[in-house]
Amino acid sequence: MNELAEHWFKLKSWEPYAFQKDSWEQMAKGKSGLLNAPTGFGKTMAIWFGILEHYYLKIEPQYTDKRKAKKLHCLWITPLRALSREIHQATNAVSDDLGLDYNIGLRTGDTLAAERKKQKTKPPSALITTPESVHIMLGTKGYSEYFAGLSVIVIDEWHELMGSKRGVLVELALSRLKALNPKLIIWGISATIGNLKQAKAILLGNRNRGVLVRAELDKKIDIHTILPDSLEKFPWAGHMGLTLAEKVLPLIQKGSSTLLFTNTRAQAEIWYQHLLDIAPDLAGVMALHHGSLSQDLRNWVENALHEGSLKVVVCTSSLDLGVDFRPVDTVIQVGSPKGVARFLQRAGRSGHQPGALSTIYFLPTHSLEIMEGASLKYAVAKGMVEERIPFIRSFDVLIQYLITLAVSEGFSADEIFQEVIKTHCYESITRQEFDDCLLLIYKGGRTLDAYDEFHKVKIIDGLYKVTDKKIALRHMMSIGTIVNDAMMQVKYLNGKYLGSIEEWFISRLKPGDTFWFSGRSLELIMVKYMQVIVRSSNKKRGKIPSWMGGRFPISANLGAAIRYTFKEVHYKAIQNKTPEVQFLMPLFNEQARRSYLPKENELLLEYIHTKYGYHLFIYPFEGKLVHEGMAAILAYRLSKIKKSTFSIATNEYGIELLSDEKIAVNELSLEDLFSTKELYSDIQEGINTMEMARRQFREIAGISGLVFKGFPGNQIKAKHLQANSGLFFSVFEDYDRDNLLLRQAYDEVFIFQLEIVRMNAAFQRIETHKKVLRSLEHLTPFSFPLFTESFREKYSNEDWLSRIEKIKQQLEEL
Amino acid sequence: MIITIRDTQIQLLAQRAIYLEQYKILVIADMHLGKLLHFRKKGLFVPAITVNEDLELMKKLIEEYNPHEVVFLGDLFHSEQNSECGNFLEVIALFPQIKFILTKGNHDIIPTDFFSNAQVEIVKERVLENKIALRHQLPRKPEPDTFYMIGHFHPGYLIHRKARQTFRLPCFYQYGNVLVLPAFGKFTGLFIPEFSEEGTNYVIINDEVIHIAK
Repeated sequence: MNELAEHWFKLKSWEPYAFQKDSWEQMAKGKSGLLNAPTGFGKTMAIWFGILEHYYLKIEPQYTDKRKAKKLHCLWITPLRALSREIHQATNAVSDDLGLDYNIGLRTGDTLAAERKKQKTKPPSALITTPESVHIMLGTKGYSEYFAGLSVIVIDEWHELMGSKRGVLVELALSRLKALNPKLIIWGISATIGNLKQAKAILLGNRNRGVLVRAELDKKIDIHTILPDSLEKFPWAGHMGLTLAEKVLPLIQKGSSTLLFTNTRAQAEIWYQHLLDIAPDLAGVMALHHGSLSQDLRNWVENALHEGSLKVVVCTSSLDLGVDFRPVDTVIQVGSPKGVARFLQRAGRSGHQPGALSTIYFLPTHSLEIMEGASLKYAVAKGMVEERIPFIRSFDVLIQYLITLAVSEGFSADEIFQEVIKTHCYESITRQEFDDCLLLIYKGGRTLDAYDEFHKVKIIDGLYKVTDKKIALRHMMSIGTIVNDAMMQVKYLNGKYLGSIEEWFISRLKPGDTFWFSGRSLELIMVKYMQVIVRSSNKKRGKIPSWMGGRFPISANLGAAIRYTFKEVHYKAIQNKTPEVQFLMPLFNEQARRSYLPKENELLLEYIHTKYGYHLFIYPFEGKLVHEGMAAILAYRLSKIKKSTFSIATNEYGIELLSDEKIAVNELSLEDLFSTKELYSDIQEGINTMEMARRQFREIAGISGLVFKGFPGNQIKAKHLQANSGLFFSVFEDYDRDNLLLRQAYDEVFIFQLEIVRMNAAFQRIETHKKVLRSLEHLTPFSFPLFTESFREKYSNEDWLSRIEKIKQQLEEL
Repeated sequence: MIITIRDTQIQLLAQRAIYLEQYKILVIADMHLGKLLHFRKKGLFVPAITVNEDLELMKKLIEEYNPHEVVFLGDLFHSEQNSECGNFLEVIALFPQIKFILTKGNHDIIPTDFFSNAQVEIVKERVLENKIALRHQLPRKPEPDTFYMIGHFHPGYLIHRKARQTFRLPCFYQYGNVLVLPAFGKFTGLFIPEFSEEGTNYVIINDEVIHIAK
């Protein structure tokens, strides 16, 4: 038993859980591992006492000379600043309670320069930080000395980091730190995901035989779908869900604190405003929380939640993770949560006491979505939690990392190559590919021009180094993998900072215009540099900013659960159907009356002519991401029969192909259309992946340092260096087709946008289905949401020139 | 396509330039020469391109129209001097009979010696008859009776077609007494003005310029 823990738990009169004891035991043996535990059950302490024990048994006795400076013992990495703060407070409290001299520092993007300097000259025993901050430390001279005594590293919420390029940052940092300290003890903390074993292997490396500790805590979840009073008045399409807002009020009144989750920041702003409109007495006890609001505001909301002084907080994924709010006893999810794991995570924000019931209300935004309530219950009951797919071969992050090392102490190519190929992300890269990365940062790529003026990294005594101070500074400013649009700071005249808004939204406003932000009505006074100066307004109506991003697709698991729910529609006796399906039966009957209601081994297609053109609707129920790729392939196969251009809309349930000319479909051609034969070659040849890759390249260009957004506040001008990633993409396309970063853009399109594996499975499933084609005069309950979808893709196999020629003809006919 | 403004025939070329037959003037805006090289010099690893297609195109235009004068409407060079400057000098040296004029733009930071040595005259604006002025940007206080031909904006036009398709194309853009030229340089972006619905757009579609009336 861990003595310090025993002491502390006695002090608190708490009883440790089995998984906590298990973790302490494994750590005492010097083992690395992965702890699988939900938030709110003492996962931090399960690891923390292992760290303390390691320090006081193994390290502290070595510090016999009191004057000798102590070294950093532990790094604790979390994905969120809010979480870092929470852990910092909790662990400090332990040191205080037990009177330990183990001091803990906090280092995030918010940490002041003076504090960072202090942490550097006099390292704390442990440092709580983020992946980006670790890389900034790796970009600082003397890092190898600074980390020389590092014994333990903890990656908190690893499931969250793993599926993103921030996870790659973690892998790279680990590869370097392991090389510096071969005995490094590594622990990950992860919520339940579909591929927990892989999560462990990626973190610890294939050769490290770490342990998996699971907290077997039974958590009960109660799921209710909020149903409208009548189906007739409920919309067929839409994604705001405001029609059901009245139904939310009694839930808020009943509970002590409610979290109302929306899927986007704009939706959160709109809900906040709407709730105030319909229930003015919520003013003062309602708050708004999303990622674009200032840290101060968010902190205030979080503290108020802790104290229980808020009745309801309208929030986005910004409150998905981390910190526990004990007073929260009600959670409402507006619209599809898109994934089982996310839904569970949000449900878990209520009822934190062990054995307590977590209650979550699902609020559908349009009629078909009601069905998802039933699907979610099924998926949760069956434990259909998603996998997190790790990134591989991310050359953009590798290039950033290499320059980081070149900025600080310089690196030897052979040494770093050996380190990076031991990571999961880069295990498949060749020396040639690694050398190509070096060539990019050293010579600016394969170049024949001897008089070239490229300067970035130099080779000095066999080490790759950055010597130019400006290049070093520019690089340090852009470390990280989260690429944002230019953000403008929103401030009051007195300087009080409210949050940030994307530039393009502000560019549409004139001084005197009113807009809603951070739950307030604001009047634009002026735009100065990157600042938007505002004053409060009492106007009720205003524009609401919409932020890019944040539109994630439904997961494969939820898709499967939705298809399962369809079985129920056809086969179960009405009294055995779930309340959601019972409620929706009139809609399904309407669909059957106007068109057809497919069974689970059938695929429905609807062909409808409107003033917009010829629409072909298809309903595979596979989720938006798969639909996007599938739509492009179908468009390709259709246009092989007849050259044409399609505008494509997809949603979670289906696909719309819209053409200005008749579409060549009949029941016979449908078999070929969905055949798995030549699927791969059709993907290769057929999909115009260039546009997709162009978009994907935006992030890659940002991470690899091609696109430089300028310094914060634009104090130092990045003169004549600004260009958008589209320009770089075109230049690479025209002049350097083999460029690694360009290839990466295409690879990412295949893996993440087209989801090749999942799409193949979907085609295999559909190939065996009976295809039912209906030519109709009017839209149907299934097709209407697609018809109104405003986000559209374009597909064409007519080359650019002939498409433009066609436009020219159309224009001339005007 | 030819438009007439104040008795002056303006030939809008699909090569993203203007030719004024009466004056035998070729007008080219926003070439941004040396942009990629400048990026490379600052450590952005864009590919090194050996052939400059912009200069090649300019040469072709000069050979085709045989002008007496070429006016660059500013932003001829993207930034500081680099080897592209040499390539530029080589091209203009092929045409000693032509007068080259630069109306200076915000990107033109290269020392004026460079241009005087190269026999390129630098002016704030080049004024033609009937108060038609060629310059980079509008002056702070535009003369109400002057017609301006300017660059700077890199105008583009967003075409919405049937089946909810959109296309972005470079264009000449006229509003009131101003005609904005598209950027000539290959490595320049497009700016789609919000107000493009109000003015008149002459959109470049492949090898043709088409007037789009709204």
